[in-house]
Amino acid sequence: MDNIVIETRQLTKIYGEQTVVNEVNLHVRKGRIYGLLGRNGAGKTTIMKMILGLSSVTSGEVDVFSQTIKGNEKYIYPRIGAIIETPGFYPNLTGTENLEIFAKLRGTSRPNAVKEALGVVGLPYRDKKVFSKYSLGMKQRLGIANAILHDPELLILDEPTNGLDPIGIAEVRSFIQDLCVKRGKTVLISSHILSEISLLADDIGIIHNGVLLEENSLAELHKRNSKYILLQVSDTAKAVLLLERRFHVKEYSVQDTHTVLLYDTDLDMAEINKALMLENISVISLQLCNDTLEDYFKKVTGGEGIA
Amino acid sequence: MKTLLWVERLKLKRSKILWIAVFFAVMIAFIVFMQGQFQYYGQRYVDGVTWYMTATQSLGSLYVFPAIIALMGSYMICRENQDDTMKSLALIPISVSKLVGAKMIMTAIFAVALYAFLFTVTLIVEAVLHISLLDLGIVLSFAKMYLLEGIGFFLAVSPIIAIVYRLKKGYWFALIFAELYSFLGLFIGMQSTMRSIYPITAVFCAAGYYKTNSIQFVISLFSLLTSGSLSVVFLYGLNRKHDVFD
Repeated sequence: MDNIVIETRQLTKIYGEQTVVNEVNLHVRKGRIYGLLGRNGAGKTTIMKMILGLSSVTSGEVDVFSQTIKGNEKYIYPRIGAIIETPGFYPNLTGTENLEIFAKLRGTSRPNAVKEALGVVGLPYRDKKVFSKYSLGMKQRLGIANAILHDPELLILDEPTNGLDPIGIAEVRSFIQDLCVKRGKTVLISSHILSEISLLADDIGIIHNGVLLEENSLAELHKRNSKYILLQVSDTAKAVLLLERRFHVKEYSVQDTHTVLLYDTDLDMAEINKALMLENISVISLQLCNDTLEDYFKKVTGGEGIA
Repeated sequence: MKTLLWVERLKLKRSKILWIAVFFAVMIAFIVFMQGQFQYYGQRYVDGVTWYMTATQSLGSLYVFPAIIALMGSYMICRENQDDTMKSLALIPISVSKLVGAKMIMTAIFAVALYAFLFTVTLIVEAVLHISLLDLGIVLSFAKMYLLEGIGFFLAVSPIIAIVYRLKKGYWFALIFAELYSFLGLFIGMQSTMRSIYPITAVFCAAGYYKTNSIQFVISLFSLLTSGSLSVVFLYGLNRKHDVFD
């Protein structure tokens, strides 16, 4: 349990009569990237806000660095860098001036902290452009720079690539991976984009309608992706009878009058084809298929899937 | 607190409200100067020594400056929510009551600076008009009056700043409330008893613009301190994050 940086137990948030987060048990391990994946409105931001103590907890518990936030803010917050929703800054100040304010308030002692943080996200130091003139992507970058300004051990990033162009997304991804691999930081990142999380995270939590449906390592989820043989024939009833008798097939599912999925992928597809042809069953298609992560998430979320 | 004050000062960089304040101070000085061109028994008002310095502070204080001070204070306080910076500050963590305290101190400094600026402008005009008639005693007594009015009007409008923040209304509401509040002072100032009680006119009593006896002076001081205390009561308990975020 020592390597658990964030742990929630039965974490619940109720607004009025609506339960937005329902008994979530989340475990973020040290030095790993945890991707919280869910559709918009699934409850990702609310969970992050409750973890950070920015929103009250209706019931359940949150431990960060094995301590509750409440009453320990002064010790825990300096170890965390966060972006929640859109990053807010002073519109009349430049990016550098904004970061100087937060560096001063945090008591950041490193003299080049602001310059380094801006350099990491690719924003110019001492630029004259004020924050109100920033593009959405620049605002997001400045938010990330602010989150890493004080070299925190834990980063909590709520959809940090929102508004970034594809190159920007790739840069942020690579930067987060570097932070984790080279500097041993722990990252909790949320996103509604499956491809982004699958490229970045070590562990994934799938949240849907406030419920954490699945929490596992990405490697484990990949293992679970089922392989099957897709068989499209003129008559599924005859085909299934033949497959059961000749090939002893037990794991299959009939999708419709022409489609059968065979889950035993060790079967000899050429032999199956030949046998079906000999029995005058026309074979429209016979191929080995692999469920994608997206298919898996669709299954887990009850068919709604994730972008 | 020193850091918070430094930060608040930096946040005002390129702020339009500062320029609005300077513009109104200059406008008031100009309008009063033009008003001083009217003649009374064959003599221009502005030719009377210290008339200009007296008229400028009274006109500005009854029509413009309390509203500008309230606007500035509520802008500084409300902007953290408006600019969505509150959550970043909470994660440092910054105590909301200390933050608001720093903003109130900055507003007080702003109020004093505004009156100091107005005093400088009026003193220059007075010096140009009648340098030979001015002595150090007159200058110092007006300097004291202007500076006390700066502090006094801050105390008088501070409950409005606090209420606007509590009601989560935009800072322009503070401007409107304070304008009505100070304009009412024009009528209350005509009643000798009420003028030392009503905070806006109590400032004039405490600063020495109205001639007062010692009781009226004490009442006016009490009125202003009560006003300042009320704002502390309204702002009390701000250090509850869930008030801000839920």
